[in-house]
Amino acid sequence: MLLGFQVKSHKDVMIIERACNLKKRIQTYLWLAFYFLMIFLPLVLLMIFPRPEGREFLRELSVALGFLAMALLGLQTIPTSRLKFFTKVFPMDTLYSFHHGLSILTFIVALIHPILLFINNPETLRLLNLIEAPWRARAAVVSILFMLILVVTSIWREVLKLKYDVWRWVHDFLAFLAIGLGLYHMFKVNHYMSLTYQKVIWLVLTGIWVAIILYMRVVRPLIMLRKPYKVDHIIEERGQSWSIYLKPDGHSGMDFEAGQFAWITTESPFIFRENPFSFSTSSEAKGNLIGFTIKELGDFTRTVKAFKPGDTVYVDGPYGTFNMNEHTTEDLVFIAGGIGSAPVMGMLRTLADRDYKQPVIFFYGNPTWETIIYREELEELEKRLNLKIIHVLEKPPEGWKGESGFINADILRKYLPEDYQESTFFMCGPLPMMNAVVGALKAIDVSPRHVFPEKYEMA
Amino acid sequence: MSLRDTIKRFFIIVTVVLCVGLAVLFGAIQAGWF
Repeated sequence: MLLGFQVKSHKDVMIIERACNLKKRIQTYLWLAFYFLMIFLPLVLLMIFPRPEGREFLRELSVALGFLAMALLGLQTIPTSRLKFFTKVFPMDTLYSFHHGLSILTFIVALIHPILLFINNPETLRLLNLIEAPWRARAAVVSILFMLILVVTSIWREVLKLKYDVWRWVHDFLAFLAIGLGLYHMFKVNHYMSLTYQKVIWLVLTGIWVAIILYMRVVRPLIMLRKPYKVDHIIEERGQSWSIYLKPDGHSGMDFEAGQFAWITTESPFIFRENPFSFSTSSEAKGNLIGFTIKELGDFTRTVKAFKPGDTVYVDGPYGTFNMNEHTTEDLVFIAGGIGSAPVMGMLRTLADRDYKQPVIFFYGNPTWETIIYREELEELEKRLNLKIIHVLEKPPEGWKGESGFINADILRKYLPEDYQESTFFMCGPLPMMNAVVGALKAIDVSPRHVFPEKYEMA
Repeated sequence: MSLRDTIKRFFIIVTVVLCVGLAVLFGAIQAGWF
């Protein structure tokens, strides 16, 4: 289902989607303008409109960086908010990765803010004494300390052996406090904040941040609670993986595009113990069943095999821009490793349902012949589609005549058609494999514009 | 590095440059250098 119409042919979908691309491009530019506005507007307004008398350069430079750090800190609520009008335009993994980069920048800018003050006037170092310092200074010090903890626990979460859900609660709580304390500091210093237009702009920005936090923490979980799913059935797949099929309970389900993903939880959506999984079912399938293939890799994924028909599951989605309709030329090349085949399977099943006739190539890397997820169904799909599957095995069985090792430039060159540079490449798998394949595609002169990766490492 | 990574890095660099540029400009204006 697309734009309210039941579609069958892949060409129909392509025509509709290309018409939507211009709209999407305009949305992208508007969001980028909004992004810069959210960061720089308060400071730019301060330069344009009347303001108090200036002071020493270092002090004013420090103040400007303080304003920017506050704006950047509040802005961090947006990339991970999962707001649909945002995630439709930007890939989710890119948003998370952007959030990581910007957060480090925010911390550095926030840290330079007091350092410049100390250099300008060493006497201000006494503000670090939390016992005697005024509340505005205490708030600033604690806010920067929280930012440091946020950065350290995010970068080294696995080294620190922090469980994902514990880390997420700590992360959200500290981020909320860091923003609150930063705002308190700014309003209490009350130098440039004594200007009415500055008060107004910061209150508007704060309103936006609070609205986003409320959406994330209250509205979205409520929507999930009102639209639960029940486990329909579970199938054991190869490679310690399980396909779980869900049906909507008391509602009409969701429309998704093959390749997209959703966040799943079996607990209350307010607990935020959820995990992202790609849809592995066809987006053109009749009925409202949605399916995910999940490999046993962590605490939650190991519990999937214990699910029973009728169990309640909450699903938040669909998300992601990893889908054929947005990017595709006619010739499709899929590259996946292990469980990275789940979204690819969703796409192949969708193409089969759309009766797609163009050539499709699937490079599929796995440790062994026995761990190839969907192996038998892929053989069936080779008959339904103009599909060629190239299995690449790390540890091939004796007498194996196919490709072995890892997917590399030589293997790609060997099987791709002559005009492969015009093909669209979709890839999904573990990060080391993705990086290696991106390098291999570059080596055979495939334009990055034709390569669409889906990374599984977002948190 | 994929195109997405390149674009993401570009925007972070643009943000850094604008942050530094505007902060220095503000400091210079307020310090009466202009």
